[in-house]
Parts: sequence; C-alpha cells; structure tokens
Amino acid sequence: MTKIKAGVTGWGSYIPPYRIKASDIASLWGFDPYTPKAIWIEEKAVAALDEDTITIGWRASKYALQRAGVKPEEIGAVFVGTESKPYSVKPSATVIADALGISPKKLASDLEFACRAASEAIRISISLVNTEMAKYTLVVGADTAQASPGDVLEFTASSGGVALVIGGLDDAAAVIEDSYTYVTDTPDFWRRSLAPYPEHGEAFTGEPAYFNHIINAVKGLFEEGGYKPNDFDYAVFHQPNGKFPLQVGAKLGFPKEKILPGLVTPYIGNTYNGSALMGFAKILEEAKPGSRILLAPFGSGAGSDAYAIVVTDHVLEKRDKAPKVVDMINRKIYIDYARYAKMREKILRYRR
Amino acid sequence: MRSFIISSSAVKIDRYYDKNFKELAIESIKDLEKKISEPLEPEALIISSVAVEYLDKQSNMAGIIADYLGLRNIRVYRVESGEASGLAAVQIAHSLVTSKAVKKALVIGVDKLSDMSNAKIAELYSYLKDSDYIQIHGVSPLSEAALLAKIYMKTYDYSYEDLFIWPFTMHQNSPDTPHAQLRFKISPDSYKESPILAEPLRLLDSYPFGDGASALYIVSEDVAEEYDVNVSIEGLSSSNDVNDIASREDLLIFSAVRDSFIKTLKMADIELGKLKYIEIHDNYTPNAFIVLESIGLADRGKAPELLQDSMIGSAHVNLSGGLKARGNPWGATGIYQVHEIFSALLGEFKKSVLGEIDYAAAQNMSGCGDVSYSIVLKRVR
Amino acid sequence: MMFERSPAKIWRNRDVLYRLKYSYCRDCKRSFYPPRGRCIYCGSSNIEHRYSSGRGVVKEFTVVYQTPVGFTDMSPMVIGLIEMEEGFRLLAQIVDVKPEEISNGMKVEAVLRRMIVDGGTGLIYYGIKFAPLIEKS
Repeated sequence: MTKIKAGVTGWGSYIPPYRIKASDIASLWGFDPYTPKAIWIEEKAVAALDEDTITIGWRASKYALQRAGVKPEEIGAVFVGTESKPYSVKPSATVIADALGISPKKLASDLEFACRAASEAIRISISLVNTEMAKYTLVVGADTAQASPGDVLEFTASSGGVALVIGGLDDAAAVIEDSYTYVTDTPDFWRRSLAPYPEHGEAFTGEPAYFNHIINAVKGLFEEGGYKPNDFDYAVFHQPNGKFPLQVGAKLGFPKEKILPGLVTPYIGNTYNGSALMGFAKILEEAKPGSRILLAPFGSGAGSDAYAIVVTDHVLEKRDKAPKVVDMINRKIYIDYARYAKMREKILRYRR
Repeated sequence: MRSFIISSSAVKIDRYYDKNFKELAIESIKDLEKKISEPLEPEALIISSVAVEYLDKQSNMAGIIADYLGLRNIRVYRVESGEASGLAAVQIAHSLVTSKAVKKALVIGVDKLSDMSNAKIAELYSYLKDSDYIQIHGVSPLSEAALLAKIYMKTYDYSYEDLFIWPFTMHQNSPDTPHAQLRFKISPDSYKESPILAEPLRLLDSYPFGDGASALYIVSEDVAEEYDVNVSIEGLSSSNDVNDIASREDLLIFSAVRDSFIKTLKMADIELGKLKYIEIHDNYTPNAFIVLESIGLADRGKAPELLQDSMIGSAHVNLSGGLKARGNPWGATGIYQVHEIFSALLGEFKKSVLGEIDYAAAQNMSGCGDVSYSIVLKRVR
Repeated sequence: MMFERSPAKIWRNRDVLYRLKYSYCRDCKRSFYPPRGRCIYCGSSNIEHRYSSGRGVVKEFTVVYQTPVGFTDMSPMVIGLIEMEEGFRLLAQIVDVKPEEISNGMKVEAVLRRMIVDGGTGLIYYGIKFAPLIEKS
C-alpha cells in the first residue's frame, strides 16, 4: 500500500510560439520526405535568442503558482530538471526561485538525468512533503534541447517546460496514489561535457532503453499497486516523437484513445524534461475529476518512473487560472531554417 | 557678474583616425591662439568630453592635455554632463572667472566617435540612461526619440514627411559652415533612401558620428578690456528632469529645456524676442521641434508649420546645420555652438543671413531633455 | 578573467529587474519606476517599494535597427512605452510577437528573459521584458 500523502497543488507550462516545420528540416538536410511522418513529427517549438531553460522554467512556474494559489514564501524546495542548463556550474533553480520571490530558506538544485530529471524531483518532493520538511515544493522540467544539424534528432529536439507545485492532499488538484522507478546504466543517448550536441545509439535507444525501462517501471507499478490498464483513463508517456508512446502504450495494453490526449510532441516537438509532463499538464486541463492517469517519464542513461495519479475536484477551479497547453500549442509564429539556425545559435559568429 | 569670450576656434568635424583625443584637442586651439596673437596662458583648463574614458581608456584627461599643452601650475577640470558637457564646461569656466578664482580659462570640448564601430557608439550613447534600470532594457535616447516622434505626429497630426523639413533645412545650412561634417544639401524626399534607425526615425533624422574639437577662451572683464573684440556671457543656466521619460507627465515639452532657458533669459535680463540667432540641440528630428516649442519660439505642435528658411518666431535657428549636419561630437558640441554664436556676433559667421546682431543664444542638452543648459551672449565690442 | 560586467552589479539589481520592483509614494499616492528613495513627483521620502503584478498595456512602441552592443541579438528590437496596471510607466522590450502585429492598447505581461549575456564565459543578466497575453484558443 502506498505511503504517499502528496499531490499536484498546481501546474503550469510554457511553450515558445516560434515553430519550424519538420518538412523544412527534412528538405534542407536531404532526408527522405516521408521521414517526419514515419516518426510522426509535424513541427517543433523554438526558443528565441533571449530565452533559455531558466526563462522558460520561470514562466511555467509562475503559471503553476497561479494555479496552486500558494504564496512564494510557502515553497520549501525548488528543483530544476534539465539537460540544457544555461550554466554548467551555477544552478538554474536559484535564479527561478529569486525571480519568483521564494525565500532563502529552501532546498534548491538542478538535477540531470536526461529527460527524467524533473520526474525524479517529483519523487524527492513526495518525500519532502510527506516528512513535512517542506509544505510545498516547486518542480520544473524545462529544456532548450539541442541536436546536431542534419541529425534525425533535429526533427524533434525542441524548447518548452512544465512546472508542478507538489504539496499535501488537502488542496491537491491531483493526488499521487503510487509511484515506481526503474533505473539502470544504459548508454542509449549521451553528451560529453564539452560537446555541443548529444550522440545517440539510434535504434539502441528503442528496445534496450525507452521500451525496456518504461515497461519495467509501469509493470512494477502495476504489481506493487495492484493496477491493470483498465484502471486508467489516460496514459502519458515520455514522447521523443509521436510514434513511441503509441507503441509502448500498445505493448502495455492501452488503446490509443487513452494515449492521444496526452500526446503533444507531434505539434511542438520533444521538450525533453517537459515531454511527458507537458502531456500530463494538458490532461489536467481536460480530464474529469476522478480520472486516473498513468504518467511514465523516461530519461536516457537510462531510467523511467511510473505514477498513478487521480484527478480531484480542485482541478476545476484551478484550470482557468493560467494559460493552457492547447492555447500555447495553437499560438504559432512560423520561421524558416535560417532563422531557426540563428535562434538556436548554430551559426558561428563573433558575439556583439 | 560677467565673463567674456575673446577667442574661439573649431576643427572641421570629420574622421581623424590619425589623431588621438589629445592631438585633436591641441589642434583645435591653433586658430584660437592665432586670433589673440600671443601665447595662451590660461589659469584654468576645462575639458569637456563624454567618451574619453571608454574610447581612449583615459582618465584625468584635463591633466593629460594640460601636460601636452605645456601648461604648468594651472587648475584642470574634466566636465561631463552627458551630451550637454560642452555648455556645462562653459558654465564651470564662467563660474571660475566670475568668482575671481581665475582671470583666464581655456575650455576645450573633444570627442572622437569614429574610433569604434557604430554599434559600440550606439552602446556608449545608451549609457546616458540609467544603466541599472533603464539602459539594461535596451533603451537609449534613439528609441526615446523614436517614441516621441510617433507621439508628436499622432498628437499634432503630422506625417513623417512633415517633420522631414528639419533635416532638409539643416542640410540647406551646412554647406557654408566651414567646420560642418556633412556639407551637402539633401532633397525633400531623400529620406526614402535613408536607412531606418528606430522607426520612424531614419539616418537623416539623426546626427552623424564624427570626431570634433572646439575651444573657447573665457576671461574676466579687466582682461577682456585689453582686447579688440569681445563678447560677454550675459546668461548661463541649466536644469534637469527625470532620467526616465516614461515617468514624465508631459512628453511633448522638455521641462529641463524650458526651465533652463527661462532662467538664462532672466539672468541676461532680455526677452526671447531679442534673440536673433539660436543654436539648439537637435540630436533627433522630433527633439528639434520639441525644443523649439519648449523654449517658446512656437506654440505646442506648431514648430514644423512655422519653420521657414531656418527662421521661427523672430530668430534664425541652427544656421550651422545643427547637430544634424554640422555634427555632434558629444562633449564638443556645446563648444561648437558657442563658437558659432560668438563668431556670428563678430560678423564672422553667417553674416549674409544675420547682418549685425547683438544677442545670440545656444541650447545644449543630453538625450531627450534629461538635462539642458543654455547660454546668452552679447556683443560688447 | 574574460568577463566584462560586474557580478556584484548584476546581483544587486536582480530584485528590481526580476520582479519589476517599483516605488509608491504614500503621500501623493503616485507610482514610478525605476524605484528611488524620493518621490519624483512630490519630493517626499515617504516611499514604499512594491512588486508589480506584471500586467500592463502598450501605449506606444518603436522598432529599433541601430541596436547597441549587447542588444544586437534582439535586432530588430521593439521598445515599448508600457503602462502598468499599478499606474506607473516604463520603456521596455516587447517580445514574442511580430512588430506588425503589435498595436497600441495591446495587453502585455512581464516575462523573465535574458537581457544581456556577458560574452562566452561571463554571467547572464536576467530581467523583465513584455509579451502579449496568451489567448484562449
């Protein structure tokens, strides 16, 4: 039986408006034009030159605090899960915390575990809340993901973020019923410290990494918690592209109708630490109270979490207190590859 | 108490890659020395410059230039009040003389804007705004002037073309200003080929970046009596406003300009109508009109309509070509203005337009009216 | 050391720039930015500092092409005259919208962005810019 007495008090997300079409990337680099369809990616979000993980994380956090209805002084911990830190050394969490008016009496750090670092912070937050070491925590999953020009990752590596305020059960919009984490040393996707872009094992990122860890985490949750697929109304997975979540969901026994509502990558790309959480935020903005959600983030390296989360009545009064994921998906300014290359600093120039 | 100007000089505003700040400053006094036909023996040297620290990595500029001029045992001051440094320096000289601290003060204004790239000069210009909380947003007097242009046009129902009469007029005047940087005429529709700086303002709405140095010799009354020609400083004052224009209650009048001019006229004990020639600080086109209205040469919103052949009210304005065409080497500009109105009073500048006049004035400000100084000169002999 | 900007300066200014701190005069009841110790309208020192909600309206704007060093990444940079709901006004950048789609009267909210990046090894100066409100789709 679960010992968890914690939930999501508030949530917020942020997706920059700029979009580049996958077909433009395919045609520039000479990919077979069918490639975007094969992995189901239509377009992705691009951060502006004056944006980064800190600014994106801040905005998502501001919206999360609005929904949580919590004063900044009540936040006892700030965690930023990201793989695109503005500084290799200097935490993003402290900038976001000060910019929100959170007091110095707090825990704060940046976590790295590819795309699941923010999810680990959720698990840590549950402990802090359960032991009353923090009344509320702020968990941010944000990235301005980089991919080498011409690499297939470039279709999906995008920018965006989600923030969750984790707190007790009383005012939670969604209660965390149970959780399970499964982690091994699996070198599917990595970036050496001075390398500008990551490397990956292509097909190796599939079976041994993504599928293996998600399936094990979800099965572990099912066994320990006594769940079956039918107990869930929604299944949100880490979404590196539009196809993988449908495939892993099918393997676990979920029909696509339960997966599609939380599948946002085809329209905005993979926001890495924001990936599964973005789908989760979208579901919180649509689901009926009482719905149970399976949330399974995954991070390369590799590991996956699985959560069983139940939506409460409180979600209804919180939904409209900040912009929604669908509002941000539909807010677009299209750019071409040249502007995209400028904005993602892929062009070598002397800084002025 | 009065002080007197007995000589002035100026170098042509241009690009002097071969001369540094000191050399340009020293170059600028050559003519001045010639005119008084004896070695300069000032008791005080006042240097006006805005960019010397940034561009030349030089502090204590007045001490250094005094050294190179061979001056010893004199007072030295370096004055900076943004773009109004020139008249601020004149004010210091005037105060030293009228307080009897010294009898002779040499004022030199110098700045070299061609020493670095345009983007760097644009950056330095933006430091006229509060660096912590205003400049950090990317704001500079350029963007402020662009906003003022839009507000001015909307409030008084002018088009951009209506305001272009100012740059056009300035370029009508500069060809016969020997020291002007841009000595060419422009056509009324030449703005069409002019690049946009901050819309709606184009390159022709802004002053050019150049190098300049100008000097004045300011002396006490008893020293002045030994010379043939001299001109007295009858009025000299200044005023300041809040640095953030967003907080100003009335954006279309520069209160610093208005108040400074009122104080200056009062000190000189004359009416505005007695001034036949005024040089104003037209760093950007909309500012020119706002200054003219702030001084009272035109009612609010009327300056563009009333400006005719460089005359407005009873005064000729900016016969030199103004900052627009004569140029604006920041710290030197105010000195150039005084050199121009001084020379005009002596009948040595724009005589065919002005004839003989008794009074002339100059107005030198920083940014869009952040601080403003004005001066009234009177021909004595 | 290769960086140019003072870490202490960046640190000192963060309260104002991160959270749009402004001054409210308890005597004449007016507000202004940047925050100062004396009222710029009535001269009183009975000043209180507050944090803005971040909600404002565009009163006027311009598109800047001659951008200073440090801001060239943003060119063409939009500078707007923004009136905040607390009554004070300031000049600041407007982002996330094409210049041709900005209109006077448009509602904006303050957002944290990079203001200046001090070269390749120096600090990143964060602060407030303004973006249009995200509309319900």
